[in-house]
Amino acid sequence: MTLIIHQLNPDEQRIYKALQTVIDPEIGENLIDLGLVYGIQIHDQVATVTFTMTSYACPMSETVIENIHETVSKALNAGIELDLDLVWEPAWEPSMMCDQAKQRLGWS
Amino acid sequence: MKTNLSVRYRIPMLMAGFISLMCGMYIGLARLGWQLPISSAAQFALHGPLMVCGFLGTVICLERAVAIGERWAYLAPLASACAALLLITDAAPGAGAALAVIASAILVMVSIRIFLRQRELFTFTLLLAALCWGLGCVLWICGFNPAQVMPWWMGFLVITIVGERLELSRFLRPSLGSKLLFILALVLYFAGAIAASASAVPDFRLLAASLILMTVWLMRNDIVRHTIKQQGLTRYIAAALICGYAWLLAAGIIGISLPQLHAGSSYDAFSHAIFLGFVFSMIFGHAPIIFPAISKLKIPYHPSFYLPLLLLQASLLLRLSGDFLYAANLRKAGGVLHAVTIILFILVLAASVIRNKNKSM
Repeated sequence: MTLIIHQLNPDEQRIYKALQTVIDPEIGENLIDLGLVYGIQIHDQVATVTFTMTSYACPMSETVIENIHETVSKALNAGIELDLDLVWEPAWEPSMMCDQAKQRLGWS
Repeated sequence: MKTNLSVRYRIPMLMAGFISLMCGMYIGLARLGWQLPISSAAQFALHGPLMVCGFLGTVICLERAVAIGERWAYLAPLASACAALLLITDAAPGAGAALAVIASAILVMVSIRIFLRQRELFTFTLLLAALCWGLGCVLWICGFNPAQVMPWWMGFLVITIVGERLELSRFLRPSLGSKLLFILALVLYFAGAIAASASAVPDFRLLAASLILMTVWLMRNDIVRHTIKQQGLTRYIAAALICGYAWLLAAGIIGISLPQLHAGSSYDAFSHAIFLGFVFSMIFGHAPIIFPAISKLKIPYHPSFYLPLLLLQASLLLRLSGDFLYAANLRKAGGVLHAVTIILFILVLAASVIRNKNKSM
């Protein structure tokens, strides 16, 4: 599920970069580096961000949705709608984090 | 997400939880010897139920209900909020206690739902925590003494917190050995809770041993080792967690080194090191992210958050000194400082909300 920035078109890359500024306050890492964003796709004037959470017991999903909305909306071209899709499959795994985040968290 | 309950219905439950907190503290101060009007002697026994079931139970139930986003799950915080109000008003204390049992039973169902959706050790741990609350409530309603109920209510809070920390430890890729150590600590906790609950005198040695093991596990596996090096809110949360772990260790050492705990001294020191030191340090740390999740009121980080966190530690040192020195005045002063600290913390959060509102206007 690794999202590679170079495989995205320029508009999608802007969303990717905006998501790099949405931080999980508990970890201090952004959603992209944590591997929580599964997909970014713009199709028929609708930008869809597919993402997950690490825990179904965590009450933060509404807050995360609001934060993504607030941040990504600023990066969107006029006329493009934002659709956020919270999914639980595939389940998030620690291995989905980017190499830099793993290194920062002490993975050898 | 579309089925989640609107915030305007969540707020009254949260408010009932805070009323329970305030009343629980008031009764706590009266128990410490402050001359405060109390409607009946029976109300002295409500300090624990109001703090654990009325306040923490309501907040944890709300947290889980918001997480799963299904309306039926809100019956749990609704039941615990109503339980708190019935206990406070002395209208129908029996019904209040029964509602606390119902709240815990619904939380167990919510926890089963979470476990079935995400079959992981941490979701199973959260289920065990909910079961602890339920068992404690059943013992309470059956008339067991507070020292026999306490291990289960303590388990509800301690195991909920370590379960949540277990979830976050996944970011550090925990080894099989660390998972086994966690399971061992849990098993030991349950053995200790059964022993303490069945004992005629408050003997918490086995339970205390499990607390020490949990602290060792937390120190080795928690992400605070990394997040304390960050800044802003992340660092503040880590600092609060570290304070909490120190108190969990302190409680473990107190419990394991004394063959029998005595009410008014070592028993109070042990229980408040956990309920206030460990649990409230966690609350102070996580309130800026959990309360916005429930209420949708943003609480941006401000360095002033450290002030009540530091005061909490000072108030506990004062209180525990009073407990061990049999110094009633120190205990009373510590108690007042606990209350002042918690009220200050609420004011600091409120100031942050207002600052943010003014900024966005």
